[in-house]
Amino acid sequence: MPRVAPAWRLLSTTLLALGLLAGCERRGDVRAPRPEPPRGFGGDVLPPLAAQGEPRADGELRVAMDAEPPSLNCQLDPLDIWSKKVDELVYESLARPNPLTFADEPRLAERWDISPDELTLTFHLRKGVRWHDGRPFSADDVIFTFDKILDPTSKTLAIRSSLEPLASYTKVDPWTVRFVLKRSYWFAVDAIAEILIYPKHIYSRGDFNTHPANRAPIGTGRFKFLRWQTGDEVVLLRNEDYFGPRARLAQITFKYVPDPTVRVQMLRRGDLDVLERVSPEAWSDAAGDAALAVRFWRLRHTPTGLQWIGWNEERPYFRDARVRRALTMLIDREDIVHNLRRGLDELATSWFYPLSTEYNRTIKPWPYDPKKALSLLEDAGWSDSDGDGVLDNGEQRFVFTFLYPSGNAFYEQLASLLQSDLGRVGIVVETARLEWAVFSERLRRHEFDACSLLWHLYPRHDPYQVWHSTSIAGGSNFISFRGGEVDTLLEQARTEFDDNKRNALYQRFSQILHDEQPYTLLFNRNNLSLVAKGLGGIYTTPYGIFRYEDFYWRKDANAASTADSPASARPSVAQPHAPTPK
Amino acid sequence: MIWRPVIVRVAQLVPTFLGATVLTFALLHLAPGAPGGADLESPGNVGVVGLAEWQRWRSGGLSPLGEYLDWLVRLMSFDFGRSLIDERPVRTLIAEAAPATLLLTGSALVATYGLAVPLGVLSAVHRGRAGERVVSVGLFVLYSLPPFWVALLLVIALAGGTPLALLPLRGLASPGLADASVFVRLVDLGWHLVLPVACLTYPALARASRLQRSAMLDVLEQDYMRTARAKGLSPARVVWRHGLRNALVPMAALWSTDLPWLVGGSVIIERIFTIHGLGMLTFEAVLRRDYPVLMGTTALACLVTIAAMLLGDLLQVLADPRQRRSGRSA
Repeated sequence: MPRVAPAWRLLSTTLLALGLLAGCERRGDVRAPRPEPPRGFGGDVLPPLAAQGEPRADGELRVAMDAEPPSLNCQLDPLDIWSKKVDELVYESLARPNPLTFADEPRLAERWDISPDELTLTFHLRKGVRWHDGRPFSADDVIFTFDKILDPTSKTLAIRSSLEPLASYTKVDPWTVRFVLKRSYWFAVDAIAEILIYPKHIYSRGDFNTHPANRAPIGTGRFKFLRWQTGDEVVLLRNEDYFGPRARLAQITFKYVPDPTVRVQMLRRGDLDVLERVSPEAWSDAAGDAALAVRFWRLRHTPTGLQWIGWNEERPYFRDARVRRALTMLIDREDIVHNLRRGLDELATSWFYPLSTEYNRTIKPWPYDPKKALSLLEDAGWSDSDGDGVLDNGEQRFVFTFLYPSGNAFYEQLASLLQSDLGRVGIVVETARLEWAVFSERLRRHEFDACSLLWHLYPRHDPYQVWHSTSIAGGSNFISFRGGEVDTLLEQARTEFDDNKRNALYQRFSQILHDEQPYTLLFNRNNLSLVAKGLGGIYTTPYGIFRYEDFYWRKDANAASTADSPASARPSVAQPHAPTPK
Repeated sequence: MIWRPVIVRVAQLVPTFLGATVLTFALLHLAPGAPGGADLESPGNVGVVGLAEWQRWRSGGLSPLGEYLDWLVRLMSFDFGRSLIDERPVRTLIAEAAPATLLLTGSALVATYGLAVPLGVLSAVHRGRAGERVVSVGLFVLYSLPPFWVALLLVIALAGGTPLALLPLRGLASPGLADASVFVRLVDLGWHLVLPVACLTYPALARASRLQRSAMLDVLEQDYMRTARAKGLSPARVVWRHGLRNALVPMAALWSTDLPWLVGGSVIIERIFTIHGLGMLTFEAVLRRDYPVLMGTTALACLVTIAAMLLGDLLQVLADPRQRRSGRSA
């Protein structure tokens, strides 16, 4: 399939250049009017949801994977980004969140009811759904999947614990499944509905952990698995027999490219169509690189990352809220965003996904105010009483160690910034850089003074696991935060099915965190991506960055696509890209 | 007894292997961290809770000593165990990754010595001349350039399109060539090997060529060289036939120390050029604390190192007639 007509490319380039010269809006008139883009969507324009040109019903999408998945059974590795992305194209859940409203939408289930006591969920399954090998889908597959996930010999601990509130489940008839909960918990509904359903007729033979289908999945989704060449690529083809609207793309290829520089070079050459998680440097530089700027949107979107510094409250000097607030005021967060993140992110004020309704937008970040901070520290008993240049409280000097993971330049820079910002007022910061596996173990054991980490947040996120005092032992409350009222709020929120009432509880919770400052929140990290301008149907979602199944190549703009830019003259032996099968 | 060093080497084989693997095993178990890798950043991840339970389940309740002995016994039947991460047999993982590494480092070895031997000989013959000095300075400059930096520069300049997009960026084969003729695929493979092999070769050139040069300098002063010249042989024939043959003997020792590199692979080069080899396999296993894979690749490297030392001794014995006669060990 010849991807590009050179004349077309030239034309579109010229038009684009003219558009730039005239200083007019680059989003052309070809697109239908669209709603205002949600807050936080920035970059080189392009809305997350828009009628983006006429779709073509063929073509291949080539996406770079920065890590290779351990397997394509994401029940085993639910946190592996790429196995999850592939599996969500191949498999389907009973329901899944809408990318804009985040409310669950029907998928394998046509509809579902929640009993008045909020303890019984009944899912009515879609009829006529077939697995990719032609066998029919039924309630047996749903029951089987839950059996396998809850089987203690399955390596599914992470998913299993999200299903802890589940008491029992039964097949009512071939198209109805009923789940009973131990206690009312709104998140359990999401957790159950969003489990990917696996085929019983495949997985019933053999061991779930080592099954051959873990490397060659068979699902019901809009894409079928074709092949996985280890260390090279995973290829998916369109499911022509899908029960719903067929995908427009005929093929999606995930290419494994571990090196970030090589990924950008491949994009420049036209060997890739989408690059996720670009570094702020590469993303900013792309604007000035003609080979990239002409053919790719620079998207800044879905701020799923929350970067923070945590103060371990087991350390006496971090136990006082005044000290923690002072530390926040001593750290110039604007400067961090500006210098370490090239100004691409926004200051964070609340522990939730910023575009969700849980986020408390009334909170203003604490100002950078060393003077105020010093007086707070003095109130808390910290001053330089012996004149050695270091703050003390009569018993000990204010010296602590900042722990951070190796292999990331951001943390290096953050560490030296902390040293200089806090050192200026007489707080000595020692730094310890540890390799990731060691770093995470130290956090789990609470063996640190201060640390920095990034949480991945998404809408409808229960903070219990990170903030409840019972999560200190075994959970993710690494800093041993004990907030009496917070515990109550989080418990109440778990049983509150009314979104508005629950959000009110979470807003209060955010306000307490803001006053207490157990974390110094730094910023909400945007995803930075480069996406070919010939593509349409570009959906972004906090659940996995992009929803590739809705992407398509545009009829009007296929010239802006890839493949034979002047920069990609290839040796005679290297053929043009593999033609799309069938 | 001329074979004595060889016999000693063979006798050392078993204790060396046991020592190396016990050491690796102990290091892996003493190192902090747990299998799984980057699983922390999602607060929804409650897998953390069951980590200890998971580890117990993994080791099947064996003590570390029991685990090691179990590993050793299964090794006898070439069973390296299964990966903790993707549950596939370690043997399969190694078999998948080994060809790429062998090809890459094998080509780099051939290229290194193919260039270093003539360079060394020529710089010995022309020692002190301006040209020779320029070459040695050049080689040392190359030696001091970090390969990851050079590799990225080459990628950008020759493959990325600023200014050239001549060479491929990634992997060992172009996509869509599965049905092409063998010849086309071989050319394609060679084309993909150019950059990674160049990046592996240039830093190794200095050492090998300097060694070849000094070996050749020793030989040039020998009586038999004067004799050869005196009997009227052409200078080229004297150098390349009589001289080089003798100057290659010390190089044999160097070759054998390079052989383990064949299976060690190069993490940096494999990573930059997306080559699925043993270097990357080992590197990722370290990050994910995939103990069985690490034990497997270590055992392999250990075996090849021992075999290479053995081979080096053998080569010394075979190449040097004096050793064969007098039984002196090298």
